[in-house]
Amino acid sequence: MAEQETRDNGQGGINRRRFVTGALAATAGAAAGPLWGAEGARAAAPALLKSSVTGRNVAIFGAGMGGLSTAHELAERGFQVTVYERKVLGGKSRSIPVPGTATGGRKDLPGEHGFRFFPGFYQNLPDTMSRIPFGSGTVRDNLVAASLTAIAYRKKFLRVPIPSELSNGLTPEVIQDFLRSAIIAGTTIPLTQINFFLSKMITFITSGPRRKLGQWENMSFSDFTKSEIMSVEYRELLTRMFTASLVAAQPDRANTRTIAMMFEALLYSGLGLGPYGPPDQVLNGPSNDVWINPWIDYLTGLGVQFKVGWSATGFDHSGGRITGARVTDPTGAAGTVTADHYVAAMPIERVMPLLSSSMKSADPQLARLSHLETDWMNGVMIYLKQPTPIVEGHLVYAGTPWALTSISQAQFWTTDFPAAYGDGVAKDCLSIDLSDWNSPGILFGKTAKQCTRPEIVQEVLAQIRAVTPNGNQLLPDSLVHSWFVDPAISGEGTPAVANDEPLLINSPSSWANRPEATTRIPNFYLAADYVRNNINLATMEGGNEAGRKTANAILDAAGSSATKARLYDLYLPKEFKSLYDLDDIRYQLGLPNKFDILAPYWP
Amino acid sequence: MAIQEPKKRMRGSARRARITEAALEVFAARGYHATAMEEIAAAAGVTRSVLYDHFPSKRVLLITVLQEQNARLVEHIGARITGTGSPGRRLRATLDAYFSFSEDWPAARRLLFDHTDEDDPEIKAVRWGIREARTRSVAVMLGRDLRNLGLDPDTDAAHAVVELLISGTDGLAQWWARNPQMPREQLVDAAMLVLWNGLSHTPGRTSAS
Repeated sequence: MAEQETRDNGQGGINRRRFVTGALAATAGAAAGPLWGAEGARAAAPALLKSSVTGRNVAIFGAGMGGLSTAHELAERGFQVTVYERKVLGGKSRSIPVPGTATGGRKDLPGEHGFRFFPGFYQNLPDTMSRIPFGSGTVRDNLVAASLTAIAYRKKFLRVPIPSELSNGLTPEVIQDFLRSAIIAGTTIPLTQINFFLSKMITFITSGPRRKLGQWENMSFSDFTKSEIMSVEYRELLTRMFTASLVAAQPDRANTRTIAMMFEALLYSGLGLGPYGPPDQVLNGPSNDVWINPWIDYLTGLGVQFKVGWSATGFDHSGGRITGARVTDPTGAAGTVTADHYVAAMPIERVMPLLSSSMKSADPQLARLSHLETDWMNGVMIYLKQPTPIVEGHLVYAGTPWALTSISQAQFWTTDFPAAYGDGVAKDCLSIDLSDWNSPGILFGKTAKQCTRPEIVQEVLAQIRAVTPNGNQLLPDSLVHSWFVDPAISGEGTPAVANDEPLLINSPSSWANRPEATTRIPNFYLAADYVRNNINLATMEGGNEAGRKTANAILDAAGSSATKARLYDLYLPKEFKSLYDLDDIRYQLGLPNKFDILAPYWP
Repeated sequence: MAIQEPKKRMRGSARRARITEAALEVFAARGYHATAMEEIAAAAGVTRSVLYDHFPSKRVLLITVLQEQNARLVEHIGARITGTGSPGRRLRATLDAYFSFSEDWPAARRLLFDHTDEDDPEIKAVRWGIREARTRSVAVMLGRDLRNLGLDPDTDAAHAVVELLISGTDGLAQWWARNPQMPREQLVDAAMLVLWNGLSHTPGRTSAS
């Protein structure tokens, strides 16, 4: 039966919808309770594995970026994929509409918690998007360039002017000059401190790969930039902004390799170098409408099965392989599902409890996952009665204790906001990310975790007004229609405050604890942002990249001759090739980088 | 003036502010190319080496001054415009805000919008950003009114209207600098006559409804 149903691709996926659970129901005798009877499944699994010649049944647990990307690559190559998702399809990238807010045939107000930022240096994810049909084009067409990304700081907007060309070719000195004038012009940080910061950033971008991994991976960004001994403005604009605001990691908990690499990629993308797109891109509608739902439709058309409300509770590990995944179905009934390949595509805090001690001893990298850390970066939507595009792109509110960032969404959306959503009175959504839940605010003196939901909203508005030019006129209370704090947060304002959807952070030396997509258990794979990847940031791009790696590993395991999913490398200027080589030689000789002249760091 | 100040050590940030204010005046009066760093140091009452402690080059100093004055403009206008009232009232408030900026900070207006002949990619980028931000804020402010005219704010026609409005206002500010005897209120009236009522209509008739 398995062989017959796993015949190879060719005619499109829809008729290839065998899923193991269904096949096993017969074996199990379809007793009362879960359809797929746990006893039968356990008994049948080993036999099924042996009889499965082509090995093309894949069970994926988690329908976030990692899971969907794995499913995409495999389904296009004729694999039979079932995706189990405990909550909602799309993971942290999904839209969360505000329930009960629609009137007059409109849709509920759209909630884009953790707004979707597609910097120009994402390459894998846009490629996947270009393979999802949308209307007469693809989902990739729904990405639009935002411009004028800005920083609000001390009641001023700081914008980094990007020259259309670098006057004297691409050299470290030219980059340093450009950044120096941008920072001097936009801030009042003392020149000596600016020079120090830039010498360190130039040091990083001229470092070879060995030094990056051997030295910068192990150093926190606050140590690298010596932020402790610098001015408040230096700490707020040069250190905290790239860590707390952009990736929700405090400067002392974020490693230099991760943060400086993001800085480097933003820089190259801003300068229009390499294969990168515009530095700031956003979707032209709610994520579900213009991306996630069309994606699910496309994958369903390829034969992918989606099982929503199904949670993995553990993996059966015996004989060196995974023989089944224990799950609960939407009714809460427990059972086991089987497949040839098992992909854990859930976030780090969800996969950890599922790994048995026998799995951890089979592969020590699974044991090391417990050292990886998460923090909170969750959204607050504020719906406004007037279209209020504060700036045309993402806005960082630098120096705000809660490390706020935002985007004014209606301006980018092709739909007429009040005609499409809510009660017709709300005309815009200010989507805010709150990236520091542990620092006291300015209004109540409490951390976000200690505040109730209404207090969170008041505090967020107060912090935004405090740093934005004409903030009080721009965002008066009278403009606020309603608000929506990420429903993943619960027990707020009490000691039991919890976050159902935290975010991985890249702490110093965490690379050593991050796994590959493949494990020493031959049919068990990992596909989420914590898997080692090029982008090295907990992002949609990282999840997508991990999904590609897992898909490629499964192609290998199944002996498939299909073309591998492409993995895109981050751009590095060829002009700097000799600098990298030289620097790695210096590193191996125990010398600092040659641009590291102000208080150099020795390996 | 410096002599009358009590003798105390000037803080770095105060000295920096004094340098950029002096640089604004000198750049606005002479233009970028004709200005020498020595002149700015002298106008600020600091030594050349103190000036270079803060700004490594004339180019960086100009970029700084441009950014600062643009922030001043944004703040000035933002504090005076109103999001409520009739469209006519809102346009009037905006024009008045811009002309009052020209009145209060003539050097800033001149530097931001009159001198634009520096041949440097980075300065060009800064100027482009300033111009873009201004065009955009006007477009946003007038979004509803443009729609009433049947113009989608994202179309070229709408951009052209905005451009006309901005360059017209700018030209008027330049004219006013040469003819300062005219009270601001009259200047705003004159601008409204064309921008709001349109040439084809008799003055005084509120026709754009």
